[in-house]
Amino acid sequence: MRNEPYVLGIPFSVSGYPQAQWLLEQTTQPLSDLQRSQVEIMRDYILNVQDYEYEVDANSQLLEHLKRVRPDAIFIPNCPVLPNLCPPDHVMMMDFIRIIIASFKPEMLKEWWPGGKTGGWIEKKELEPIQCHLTPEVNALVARCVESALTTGIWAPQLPNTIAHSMAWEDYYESESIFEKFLKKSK
Amino acid sequence: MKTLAIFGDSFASVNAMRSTSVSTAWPNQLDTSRWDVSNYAEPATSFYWTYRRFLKYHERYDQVVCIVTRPGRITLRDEPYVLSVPFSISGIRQAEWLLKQTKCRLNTLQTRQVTAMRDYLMYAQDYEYEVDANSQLLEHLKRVRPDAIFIPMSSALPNLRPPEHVMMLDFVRLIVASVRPELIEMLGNPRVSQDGWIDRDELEPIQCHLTPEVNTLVAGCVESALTTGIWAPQLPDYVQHSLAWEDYYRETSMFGALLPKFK
Repeated sequence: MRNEPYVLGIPFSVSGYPQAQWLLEQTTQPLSDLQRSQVEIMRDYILNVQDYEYEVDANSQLLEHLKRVRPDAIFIPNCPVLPNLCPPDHVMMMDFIRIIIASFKPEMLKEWWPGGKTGGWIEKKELEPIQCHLTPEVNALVARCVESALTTGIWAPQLPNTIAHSMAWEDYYESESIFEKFLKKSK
Repeated sequence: MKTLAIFGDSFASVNAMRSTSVSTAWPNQLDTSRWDVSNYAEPATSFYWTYRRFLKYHERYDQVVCIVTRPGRITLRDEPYVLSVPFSISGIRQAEWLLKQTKCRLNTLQTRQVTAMRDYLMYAQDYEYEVDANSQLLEHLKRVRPDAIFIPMSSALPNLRPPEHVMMLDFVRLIVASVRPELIEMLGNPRVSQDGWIDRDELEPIQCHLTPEVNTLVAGCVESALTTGIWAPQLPDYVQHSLAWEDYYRETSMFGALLPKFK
């Protein structure tokens, strides 16, 4: 909601059904009546109406527009959704999350990686070392990859399978899931 | 004879809800000795719905005409048709009308969907996103089919806008200028006329929101554009009509008394 006040210190956004439910129930910053209505409306729209293929096609063409406006820009996909910015040609931010999982919890790759139930996310509350959803070690790797891309003009990093970390899994993530209780169970 | 596909919304569709024996809709007035016409246009549909149909079918045709509708509409592509047309919401008033109409009662899911769409349009939709997204989808179609004739319905999209691009609402304005010129000022009043619509129940002579006479004019303009490859018709200020205003429109509002009367 670009024209609305920030919520919880960030732009007022709904990224999906579970986050909408979380936003309604969180008590850190109770929503105003209007904000509550807006979140409920966005949740209901996502649940009952949203045409995801429209979002994909529209966002793909908006991306094409940005590429034409700024051909030298480095575009990095978050996830493998847009057909014009997709693995294997384009390493995505989720590939870096995969390195974290593979480094600590390789047994969880099947459950958490795209195709698994979390779609690539680590569904755990992040502790302070985590920034941009990444460990300090993986953030350093991303920085090097971006530096390289800025030099060559091409985003095509060669990623390791795992990376050494200075701390334990428990120092990066709480055991509790972020949105788990808000996810609709398909059982 | 060449094959021609027409894509778009109600400004190009032969109204499925009207039982007129002789259609005066402009697609049906094109020269049948020149064109084998397939009409894919449907009322109230979104531009994305048109975009998908365009990409699916355009290759089958020698030439293509596409009416580019207003951004912000929602068509539920995978749902059954409602009132014989694709299940679409073209605006808040039409959503309200759809909830209240009794011709085809909505089921529980459909009611929930229309309510969700209405509330989304009222409180959450980012119209500038819709404009930007539709503009870029249009750019994509232009790249895919550079010879297609694109005709804007309204002035909403910056890459298909008057004065370079004559829009379908210019033809609506021509009806008012010809038959009820004293109402012209009302067309520009957003409290009365959204974008330049004639907010009236349409009677049987009206097809594609146009009088038979103006449909004939549109057909001529389209024929010319198909010959030159350029949509740049020179419109008259006035078109002679055979009937009176009351023969074309009822006094009642199209979607009920949700806006001030258009008198």
